[in-house]
Amino acid sequence: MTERDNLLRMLSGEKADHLPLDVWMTEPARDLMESHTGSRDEVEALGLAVERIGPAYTSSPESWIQAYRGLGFMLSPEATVGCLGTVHDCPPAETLGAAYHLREMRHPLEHVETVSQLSELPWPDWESPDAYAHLGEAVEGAHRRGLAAVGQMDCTAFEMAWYLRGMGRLFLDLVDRTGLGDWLLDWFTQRAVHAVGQFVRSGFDIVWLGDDVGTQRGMMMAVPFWREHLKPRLAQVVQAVRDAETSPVWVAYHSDGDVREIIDDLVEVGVDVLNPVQPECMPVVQTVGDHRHHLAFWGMIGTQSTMPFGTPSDVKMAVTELADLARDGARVVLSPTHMIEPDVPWENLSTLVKASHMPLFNLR
Amino acid sequence: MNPLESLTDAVVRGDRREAVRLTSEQIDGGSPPKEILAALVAGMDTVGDRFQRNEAFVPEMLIAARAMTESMAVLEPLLAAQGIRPEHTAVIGTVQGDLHDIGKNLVAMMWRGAHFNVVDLGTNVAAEDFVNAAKDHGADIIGLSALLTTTMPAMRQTVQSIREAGLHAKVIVGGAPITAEFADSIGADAFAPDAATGVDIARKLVSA
Ligand code: B12
Repeated sequence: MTERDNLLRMLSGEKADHLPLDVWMTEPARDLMESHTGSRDEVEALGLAVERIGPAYTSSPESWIQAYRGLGFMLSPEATVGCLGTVHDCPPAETLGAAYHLREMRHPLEHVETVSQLSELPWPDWESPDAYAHLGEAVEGAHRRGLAAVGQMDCTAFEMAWYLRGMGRLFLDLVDRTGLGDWLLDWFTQRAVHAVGQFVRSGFDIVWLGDDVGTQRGMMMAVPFWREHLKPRLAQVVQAVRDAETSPVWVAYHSDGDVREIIDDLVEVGVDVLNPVQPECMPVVQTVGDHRHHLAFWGMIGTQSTMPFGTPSDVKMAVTELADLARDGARVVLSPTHMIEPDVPWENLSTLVKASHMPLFNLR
Repeated sequence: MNPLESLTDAVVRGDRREAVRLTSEQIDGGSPPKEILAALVAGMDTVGDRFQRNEAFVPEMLIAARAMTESMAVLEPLLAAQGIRPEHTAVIGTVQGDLHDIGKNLVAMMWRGAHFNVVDLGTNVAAEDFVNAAKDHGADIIGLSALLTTTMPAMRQTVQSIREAGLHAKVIVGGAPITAEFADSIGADAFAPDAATGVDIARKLVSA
């Protein structure tokens, strides 16, 4: 059975051989992995179940930089511009210390005042077939390697709009109904609608959506606010998957933090899988118990607790707890709840990897 | 509702126009600036309480703080004229290596809302910068935020530097992975799980 077969069996509630595994690595974690396994490819070295593939938009950083200059937003020489206009700044090397991913996000659209300023920006053409031309082959490649193909459309709408506009401004736009927040959310929603259709037609097994709307203590915004502004847009994107699919494609949704208050709504719009279920703020056994009848769970191994601070036997215990749930019929994919940071001991990661590959029926 | 209660209510609802209008009206009507200020602060306190109970969220905090700020712009000259200044100064920042600032900003907003003088050092702040700023501004409170397990050691380091510098300021820490036990173990004076508790604790520490 390939990792893909095993994962798809797990998601559809058939008998899986073992708990499928997904791990997101930082570069220092990759260094550590290489020193122990000789490989920098975690899919191979750790036996992961998925390969993640996204669209390839063409847009020139130069045209963004110019457009931003026109808006009075100056970039520092160290800044990088993404194809969707996001801007990151890297502080001077001497202040970096151990913090290798210290890339500060700037909000280039913070001072925009009119919708026409937004529509005149050099947005990439999400309808261009070039953006998706590689997908079919990439999916086939993943399948040949025995991996499930995941179509990446995380930061679906809210997070992209927030990154460009700034969270505070975006919230104020929506409260004050300036139209700017809606314009941004709609632009990103429409591009996601288009992209997920392309994903489905290219043979992806899973479409990965997500927008962080949770915090350690609950929702970032009130549930009615989420229902008004974000839920209908998410529903459109999921519907686009349903409209395009000829055989079932799994829809996963990522939000950090405690999002228990919107789980029923997520299921209602068609989400199949929830990630990452941070155990530090969403009690795992209870959340799985409450929602296993309509949802699969992907994550649950805490990167604020077990992975950095636990012992290998704590890791084993966390996996065993999930194996118990899976044997009992819950659909579970193992994954640390965020990236493996340099504070995670190799022994904890290797224990997770070993335990995940043990036959489900021996893992007690 | 009397007019000052209406002003409090306007802040709670985040109705900035009404808040500014009522502030001006109160000023024109000769209400003591101190009482107007108290009405504004009461509004922020109420929003903070709601936030603590998960009945208000980031957007509600933002609009309440905006209503308060705009009202304060009208009120400030009168307060200054009467020599009414924030009695306490707080320095706040996110520790070195960490760029998360949404929570830290809310705490700063709430401390301002409680009429503290707040010096916000931003994110990725080195220990010595906290120390220097606390000295320069005569801080009574130093607030440290960390959202990453990987920056919790920087928080420990910062508390140590503050202690070594012999500052009298009280250190309050917070952020998603921070617990009361951790706060204790690094020698911080207090931990707050949310911004409203951060206000309660800061008030207690400065009056102790
Ligand atoms: C939003 C967010 C981001 C945003 C931050 C935007 C910004 N300008 O702040 C972005 C997308 C940029 C981001 C980046 C990253 N993030 Co992040 N992020 C979050 C998220 C979803 C929410 C945090 C938040 O803003 N909450 C809302 C505010 C209101 O709550 P709060 O911060 O907890 O603050 C409240 C209290 O804690 C308290 N408080 C906080 N500070 C202080 C200080 C004082 C003095 C007091 C009194 C109180 C107090 O009061 C606040 C208000 O009530 C959390 C998830 C989570 N569980 O928290 C992950 C999370 C913190 N991120 C995480 C990670 C891994 C990262 C990245 C490393 C990812 C990456 N590789 O790029 C980077 C780090 C970059 C860096 N060097 O800092 C992980 C950390 C895991 C770990 N090992 O600790 C988390 C926990 C997600 C997860 N699934 O595990 N992130």
